[in-house]
Amino acid sequence: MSALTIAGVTAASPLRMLDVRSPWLERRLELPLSEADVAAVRSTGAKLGAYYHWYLQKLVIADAIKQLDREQATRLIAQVDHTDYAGVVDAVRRSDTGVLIAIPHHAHYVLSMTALAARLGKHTTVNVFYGQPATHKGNAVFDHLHEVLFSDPACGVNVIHDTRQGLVKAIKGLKNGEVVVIMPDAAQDEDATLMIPFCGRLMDAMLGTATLARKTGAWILPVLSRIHGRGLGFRTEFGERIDYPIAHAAELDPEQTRIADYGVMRQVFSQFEAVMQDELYLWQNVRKYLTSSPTGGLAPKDELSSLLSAIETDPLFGSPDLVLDLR
Amino acid sequence: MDLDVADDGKWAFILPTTAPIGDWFRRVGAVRPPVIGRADIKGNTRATDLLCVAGAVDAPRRVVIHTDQLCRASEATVRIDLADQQVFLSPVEMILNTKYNYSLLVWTAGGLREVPADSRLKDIAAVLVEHLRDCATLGAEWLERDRQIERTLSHRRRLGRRKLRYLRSSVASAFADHPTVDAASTYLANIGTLEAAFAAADTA
Repeated sequence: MSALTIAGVTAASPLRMLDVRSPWLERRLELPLSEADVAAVRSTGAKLGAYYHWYLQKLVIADAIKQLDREQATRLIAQVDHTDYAGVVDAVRRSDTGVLIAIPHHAHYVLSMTALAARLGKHTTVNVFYGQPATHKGNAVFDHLHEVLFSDPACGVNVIHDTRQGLVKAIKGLKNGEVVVIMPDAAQDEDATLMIPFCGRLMDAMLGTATLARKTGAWILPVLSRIHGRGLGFRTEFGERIDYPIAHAAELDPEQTRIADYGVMRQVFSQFEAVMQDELYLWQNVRKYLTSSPTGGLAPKDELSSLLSAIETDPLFGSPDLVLDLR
Repeated sequence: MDLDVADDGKWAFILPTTAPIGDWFRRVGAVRPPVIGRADIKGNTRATDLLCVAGAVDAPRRVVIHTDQLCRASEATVRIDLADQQVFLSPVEMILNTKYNYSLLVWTAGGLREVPADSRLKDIAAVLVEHLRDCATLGAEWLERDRQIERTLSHRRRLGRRKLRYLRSSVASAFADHPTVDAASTYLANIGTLEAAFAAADTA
């Protein structure tokens, strides 16, 4: 079944050259696009057909994951994985501290995370950290994959959800020199984020990955999933190691700490951006990001004072002239 | 359309922004009454300019107000607490009515509603709220439909928080390599004060 499916995706690869809308395809792919979505996809430089083909791949993967047993899933992943793991395995094995693998929801990130966790799990305990399916519906796939592939404790791979208990477990694991896989491009609470320039716009980014590094002494390894070839192939690419830049971070006040955390996250997203900007259509958040996030950049240092003054006098922050209660 | 009423007093007509009304204004040209609305629409008179002359002996006897165009924080500054939400209205209709003796003739789905000069502020606000709700029944014909969110408190709070996050992010970005310098602390203290005041307003 898997081989047929891979063959099907490969056979459909000429679809990538298509650049007109196909309502029929959108129905088949369960991909209802608005005009704004179409414009967003095209603004990435990708043809609409490439986006359709990418969605076909996602559907096939999601379908396969639901149906395969452990042996079949392992074989499928091995068949489509074109990653060179030698460097990362060596770096993790030799690490004196915990390691935070930061991977965005880009391309075949589910396969990349799974294959990487399986490799590293042979050498150290790997904790895959993500939103619980009860609140993040799409993440049920991780729970299912874990159940299929990693239910044997000997695999060395655990799933932890982003609950308070999960956070405690992640911190404890990192302090013990374990690996935590985390997806930093997910943000549930906009008000808890800061804006980071990313691909010509401003992304609402949580600082949690940097916070974990600061609290545990772990270093961060930005990782990206890339598509490989015309079928379901993927390749996991590893970025430059990021160490928390301030040795005595505990001496910083909370505001200074937040700025330092921000600087770390900016480095993480800068590494992502270097690759993702040329294939942004493969990012799970692409449509929402390109249709609703603010364009432009942040204010430079020499404009901060005037920006602060403008906000202080902005009527948005003033009190109403009058309040009338009509309840 | 005729703005004549059987009364020699001063009248303000509250009308929705639709293409037919816009066409009518273009047809009547120079004899049209002052039209109060968004500053970025050609031919509109600013509310503050009208208020400067509203008490004069030669004040315009007829004015048109597109209440639906006055949504922004700089224009709509009177907060109305309703059962289901909090919205902001422009004060111009209330000032004209209570200070300068303008009667209001307000378009609603059920016909024109008259609000006599020097009415209670709550009565004026209630009719204006009804007017805006009824404008929604015009569907796509209502040209200001998509801008009405700007008069809601929830939208303004969201926008305000976003502006503060933008400022905080800009400071973080500017000082990310040197988070302990005094200038960063000064900015953050000011932002903290603004955030606290803004958060307090949420519960006011």
